[in-house]
Parts: sequence; C-alpha cells; structure tokens
Amino acid sequence: MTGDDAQNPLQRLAALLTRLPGIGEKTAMRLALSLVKADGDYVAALADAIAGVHRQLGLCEVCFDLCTGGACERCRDRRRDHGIICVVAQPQDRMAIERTGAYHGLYHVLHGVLDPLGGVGPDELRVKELLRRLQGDSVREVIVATSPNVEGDATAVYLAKLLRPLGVQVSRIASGVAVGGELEYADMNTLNRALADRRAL
Amino acid sequence: MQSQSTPAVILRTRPLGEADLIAIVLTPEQGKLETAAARARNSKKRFAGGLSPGMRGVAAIARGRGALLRLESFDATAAHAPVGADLTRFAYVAYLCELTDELVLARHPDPELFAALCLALEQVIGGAPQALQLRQYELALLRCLGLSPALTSCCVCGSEVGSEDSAAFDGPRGGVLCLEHERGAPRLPAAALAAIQHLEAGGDPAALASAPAGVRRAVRDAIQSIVRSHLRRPLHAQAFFAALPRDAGAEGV
Ligand SMILES: [Zn+2]
Ligand SMILES: [Zn+2]
Repeated sequence: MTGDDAQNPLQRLAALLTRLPGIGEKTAMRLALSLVKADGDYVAALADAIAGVHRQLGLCEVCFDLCTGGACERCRDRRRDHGIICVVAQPQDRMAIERTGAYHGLYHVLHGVLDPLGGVGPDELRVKELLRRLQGDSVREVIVATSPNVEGDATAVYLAKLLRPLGVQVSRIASGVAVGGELEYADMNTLNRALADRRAL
Repeated sequence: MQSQSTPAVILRTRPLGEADLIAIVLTPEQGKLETAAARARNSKKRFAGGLSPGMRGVAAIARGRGALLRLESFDATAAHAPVGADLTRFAYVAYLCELTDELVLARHPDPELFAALCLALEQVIGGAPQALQLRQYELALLRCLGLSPALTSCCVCGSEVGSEDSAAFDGPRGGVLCLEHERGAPRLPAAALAAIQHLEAGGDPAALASAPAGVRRAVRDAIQSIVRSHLRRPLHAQAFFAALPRDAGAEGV
C-alpha cells in the first residue's frame, strides 16, 4: 500500500475489512463503497454496534457462552431444564442447537476441542468450569455435542471418562448418514459411524 | 491441469482463510509435500471424511500457480474413526505424525519410510495401541534418516560390545559403547538392549508386551534420547499425552 492509499479513508476501511473471515479484497471494496453511499444514521448505528460488540460482550460466568455480563439469559431462565447440560465446542454450535427449538436444557461452551498438534489439551478448554457446575446433584445428564470428527470424538471420550465417576449420565449426539443424502455416496468413515450408532426400530 | 493420484498420509493441517486448509502430506514417491486444499472444510465430496492427522488414503495432487500444490481430493482407504474413540490412540497418532513432520525434510521421497509410517498407523489404529509400536517406528524413522544407533558394536571404535547384564548406551553419541569409550555413559539393561534389537530387526512389538515395565521404560528412554537430540523443540503431542488422565498400562509417548 502506498502512502496515498493509507491516507485514503476508503482504502483504509477496505484494508481493515479484509482482515475479517471470508472477506477478500474485492468484497471489502464493495462493502466499503456501499458504506460511502449509505444513509448517515445507518453508518453511525453500524459503527456503534461494531464497537459495542467488543466493549459489551464477555463470557457468561456459568456456561461461558457469549453474553453481556454476569449470567446469560439461558442460564437465568427458570423455565429451562437446569438438570441437563449440553456441551458444545464454540458459541456457533450453541446457536445451531438453539435454532432447532428442540432442546430446553442449559449449555456449556468449551471454547475448542482437544487438538494435540495445535497444542490444545484439557487445560486449554473450559473443563474445570464444567466439573464445578456438576458439584451437587442438580445436574443429572450431560449431552456432549462436539462435531463428529476425530477431535470432537476424542473430546467426548475425555469428558465421558471424567464425568461418569460423578454419577452423571453422559450421552453423545448421534451421527451418520446425512438426512436427505444417498447411501451410495456416503464415505467409508461416515458409513462405519452410521452402522456403529444404529438403533432399534 | 491433470492431477496425479498417489497414496498419502495426512501429517498436519492448518486453516487457510475461511474454508480452505493447508495440508502437509507424506507420499512414497514425492516425499513430504505442502498442499492447499480449497474448500476442504465444507466439501463433503472431495474430502468426504475430512482431513485429519494420520489419515491414510489416496490423494489427487495437481500443480497450482507457481510452486503451490493443490490437493484436489483425498479418499480415505483405511478406517480412521477409531482414532477419536480412544485417547491413547488419539495421542499416539498425533505423535507419529508430528515426529515425522518434524524430522523429515520436504521432498525427500523414501518409500521405506512411508511404509513404516503406514505400518505404525495400522498397528495403533487397527489394533490395541501400544507404546512399543511407537518405539519401532522411531527406530525405522532413524534408520531412514541414516541415524540408527549402534546396537552391537561400539559407536566410537566399532569394537564388539560384550553381553553382560547391562551395556553402556549413549543415544546422542550414537548407541552402545565399549569399556574403553563408555566413561560416564548411562547403563542400559541387557533385556532392554535385546528388546531394541528385536524392534530394530522388524520383530513384532506385541512379543514384548509382557516385558517388565522397567525394561519398557528403559527402551523408551534410550530411543527417545536419540530422537530428542535431533528435534528442534519438544513435541506438542508429548505435552498433550502428559496432560491426559493416565490409563492403566498406557506408556508415555
Ligand atoms: Zn450462560
Ligand atoms: Zn569403543
């Protein structure tokens, strides 16, 4: 970038936007140009929201999901089933499960999965915090909802090993052939899993 | 451009942007390659089982722009799901991959090394994971790199080393030592030296499963003293294994 470019507010905004995931140079410039043409109130609200997301969002002190301070709305909701905790790797996974509308218990966000080569061991995840939530006997079941890949599976196995002695029922979300998919196109590992996780009809 | 199909083992991946991955793969005829796998994180067709360290399969690799290689697809040819089902196996597979990635130079093809890695992965993933399988692979890797320890004659002068109840063994210096050159060298029990010779000769690691824990530990420490002297940094997989709750019988990597 030349000195002139760095001074140019449009170039500066585009350069900052390219640091976001999924935004290439072309998209960044298109977004920047659309902001130039946009309504002033909208641009002010957007700038405020961007600053606010960083200033106001922290982690829930109970489940470690993103939240605006103290305990999140789900942890505070007395209508939810506080006897069951669904463990997920990251906030996006909690959002995906919540969208189904089929789950009414609490969550716990680990902030990662076990990854030996990435240097992520049990101490790098919010595991101690999960154990603390299981002291006392109000929680009867933990559902481990990590992704059905090697790292997600190993994390589930690790948690099961840790939690079973505490007298909590530990389960794992089912996985296998994609709904709407065709069997002949499923890969070997997916089919193996689907067979292993079969259930009675 | 036409892509080439080759047997391959995934050694390591790292994210590249939002949906792509850099995958380091080991192949028999082209050695260790760094490849870019476009949309690897969401293509269910080209990377059906995902890309995970230790996966064995057939890779289609094409030359991209400049020197960059493109991983067009990867089809697993051996079951990989057992890796996530057992923490010891999970850590062992990570160790095999990380050790290989650290010690093998890019583009130095060695079919023998590729076969040794595939054998070790098959033993660890296909059966019950045992630390002695890792030891045998470490010896094979050292052999392929021209770093095999001397096991029968002094690594300094080449004279025959007598069979007593223990031998002087200094990994970083090159193996066993004769009386004249052994000063200050640690002692290795004869049973441990015999076990190393058994593994080095391609003997079944399972045949040593009933060896006393002290002997297995001595085997590990002797071989790892050599391996460590060639590593630039401690391996993540070893720190990971140390942080796991200990399974009965599981030995350190
Ligand atoms: Zn919460
Ligand atoms: Zn000598």
